[in-house]
Amino acid sequence: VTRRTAAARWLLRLAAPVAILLSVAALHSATRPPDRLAIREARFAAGGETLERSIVRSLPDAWSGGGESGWYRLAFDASRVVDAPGAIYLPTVTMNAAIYLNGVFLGDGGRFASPLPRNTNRPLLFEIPAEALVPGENHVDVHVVTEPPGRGALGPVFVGSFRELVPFARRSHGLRVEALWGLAVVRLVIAAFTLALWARRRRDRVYGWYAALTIGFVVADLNQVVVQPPVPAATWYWLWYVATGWIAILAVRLITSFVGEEDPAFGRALWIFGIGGTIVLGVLAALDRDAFHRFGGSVWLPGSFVTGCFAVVRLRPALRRHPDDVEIEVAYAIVVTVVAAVLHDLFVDVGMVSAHAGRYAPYAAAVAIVGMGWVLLRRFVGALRRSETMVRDLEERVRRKRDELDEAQRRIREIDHTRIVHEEHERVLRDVQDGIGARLVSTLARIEQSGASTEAAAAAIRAALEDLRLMIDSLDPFDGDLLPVIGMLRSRLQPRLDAAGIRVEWQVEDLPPIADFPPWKVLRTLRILRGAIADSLERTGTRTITVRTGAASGANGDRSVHVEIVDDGTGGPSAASMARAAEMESFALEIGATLQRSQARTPSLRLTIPV
Amino acid sequence: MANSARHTVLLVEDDEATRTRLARAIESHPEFHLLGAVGSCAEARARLAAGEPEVLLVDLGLPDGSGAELIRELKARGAATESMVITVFGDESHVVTAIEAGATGYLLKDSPSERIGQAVLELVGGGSPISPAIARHLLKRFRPANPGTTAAVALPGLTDREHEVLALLVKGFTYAEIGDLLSISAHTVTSHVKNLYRKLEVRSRAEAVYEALTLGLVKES
Repeated sequence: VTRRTAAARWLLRLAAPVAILLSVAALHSATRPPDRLAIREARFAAGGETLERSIVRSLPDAWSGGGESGWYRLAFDASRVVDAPGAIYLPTVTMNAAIYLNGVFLGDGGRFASPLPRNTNRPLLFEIPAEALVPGENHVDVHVVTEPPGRGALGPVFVGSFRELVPFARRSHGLRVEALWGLAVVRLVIAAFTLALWARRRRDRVYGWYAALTIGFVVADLNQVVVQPPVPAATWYWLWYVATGWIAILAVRLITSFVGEEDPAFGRALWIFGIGGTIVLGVLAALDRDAFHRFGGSVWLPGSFVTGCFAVVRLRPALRRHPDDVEIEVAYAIVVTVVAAVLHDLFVDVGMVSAHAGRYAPYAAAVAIVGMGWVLLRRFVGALRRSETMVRDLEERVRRKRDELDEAQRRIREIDHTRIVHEEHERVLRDVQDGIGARLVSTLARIEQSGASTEAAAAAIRAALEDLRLMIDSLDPFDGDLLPVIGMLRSRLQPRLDAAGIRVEWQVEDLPPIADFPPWKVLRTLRILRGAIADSLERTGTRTITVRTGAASGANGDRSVHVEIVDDGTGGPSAASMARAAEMESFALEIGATLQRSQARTPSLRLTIPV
Repeated sequence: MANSARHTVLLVEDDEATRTRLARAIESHPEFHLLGAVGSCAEARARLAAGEPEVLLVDLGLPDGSGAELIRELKARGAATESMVITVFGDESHVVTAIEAGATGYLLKDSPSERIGQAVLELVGGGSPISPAIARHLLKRFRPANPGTTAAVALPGLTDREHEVLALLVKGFTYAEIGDLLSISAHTVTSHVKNLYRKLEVRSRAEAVYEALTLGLVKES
């Protein structure tokens, strides 16, 4: 079953090239007049020799070697021309010809000086004037010139009525000249489109190779459609040789790129072959015309053909690896078709096949360009679709990842929040225990041990309440703003100060915010400042307490804010004050602040907190 | 002093000992006449139905509701009663809730007896106490609202003078000190504070309306 399938595949792969080449042959055949009008025998005399020394040749005829011109004499009976006027039709001549009927000049294909007009692909039709035709046997002399020397050829000559021959001449011109011009325009449009694709997707070099190959075909085909070259013959041939050779190189690059088997070493070899051959051809064209054509015809063109065959070689492994890949199947059929067509035209060029058979490569190339264009467009659309799918897939993955990230961040926030709440609970519990708890326990102990007075118990409870309020105040969101903190302390203590008849000098100024000032630091700050005011209240004769704030920058650029509490009382620190001092020092240490005391004439305390 | 010339006060406090202490402080003051001292919202409503006092001293946490509801109901009735909340801590969250309901003052429950009468008298005289924390809260609340909010509902803002007063209150200055700094009387400062309380109440109501509009609970007329 596998063998049968493989055989069927190979049949299909060969069927397409065969069908295409047969179609091209059929098109050429349709341009030929009926055989009854053909003259297939002539006497040939090389240039410079007389017809007396001529030899009989069959048409189509080609001479290899020898000179650059020759004479053919053909004979026909006047009865061939059933309707006047008659006509002589030369479908193929390499490269120019002049026609004489019974010694009367009928016309030619252009000038007889280099560069010669290129009529190989252009049919020539000459009308026979009534007076030139004689009853009975007539003879036609065809003077053929060629460039380079030694490659002259003449196809069958058709003689009949003009009305009968002119449709074939027009048909042949349409197929061999006008169609090729049309194909050239189409190819240039395709090349421009493919170049635009390549410009957008530089990594897909296959589009670049394809565009270059298409342009190469157009340049090579100019030799088939341009009758009078605008440059010297050697330059024109150099252009044609170079274009034809580079078509093979570009085709191999296209195929290797297409199947994804680009070999850098092989690529370099191709570049060396192409550039080296181009330079050698250029040098020879300038120095030695014969050597130029020998190199071009015997080395360059066969070498290019062999190079082009690598395209087939490179495709076969891909065919084996991707037996169901339609694109590779189509590419393979195209490459085989073009190689076969080029081989046919190469035989024409070397005289193994008559030029009268017509050229296949331009038409096979047109099919190849369309076929490969379809393949590449399909691949481009496929790539776009895959790209869109990938983008959608990527967007979906990004969305999922973002959701996961959001969820993770939410969990982290939850965990962080739980941790903060837990830490805050612990802190509040610790503060409650150290503050209000300790005060209540102390009060209870004093009541139980010594039966403290109601006033003393009330004072202790008020102090506990005050501490509790400081704790609650510390929970307000102060955003590092120290002034409302000490303002709150003042509002809490003001009734006590008022009751003691103490005036407060409130000398505060705007302060920069403290970057790290969470509630526990606020509470410790409040307790330190409350302790300082308690010291002032306990001192003898205190009438005024001054509260000052300020900001400063240290020598190393560190900024800080400070609160200074100064009173006008006298006397040394009490036992309670000394106990508080240790606690205040401890609080300052905890929040990274410094505490400075002065027992000068005006006792003061300065709390400095880094910003 | 005859009862008719004294300021009438209704006290609402659920803790009996505190209620008794506060009631004694009010009763002992020559300028106040205590209409009643009750321990629940229901009893307070019954008293209020009989007549509106000049001053309502009310605890926020009552067994059958919040004191803020009573204040709001009085405001809704258009009563001229000055409401003062009684609070243990005088903390920002409780006091601001009460002010938003329509209260114009607050009193610490453990205030000395002589201070209680004085605080109520100051309230009747047009004064309102404020702490730096509450002042700071007001400053934040009265920041320019976003355009969408102001387009839907007109929100009262701060005058330049009110802003100055609040900024100084945040820094811990007293009314008298602010008066000196701004060359105005302390009484004017208290008026500004009272106005701020009223604006907060109005703003709070307006924001509630805006929220209702946004949620489609009510339609803009």
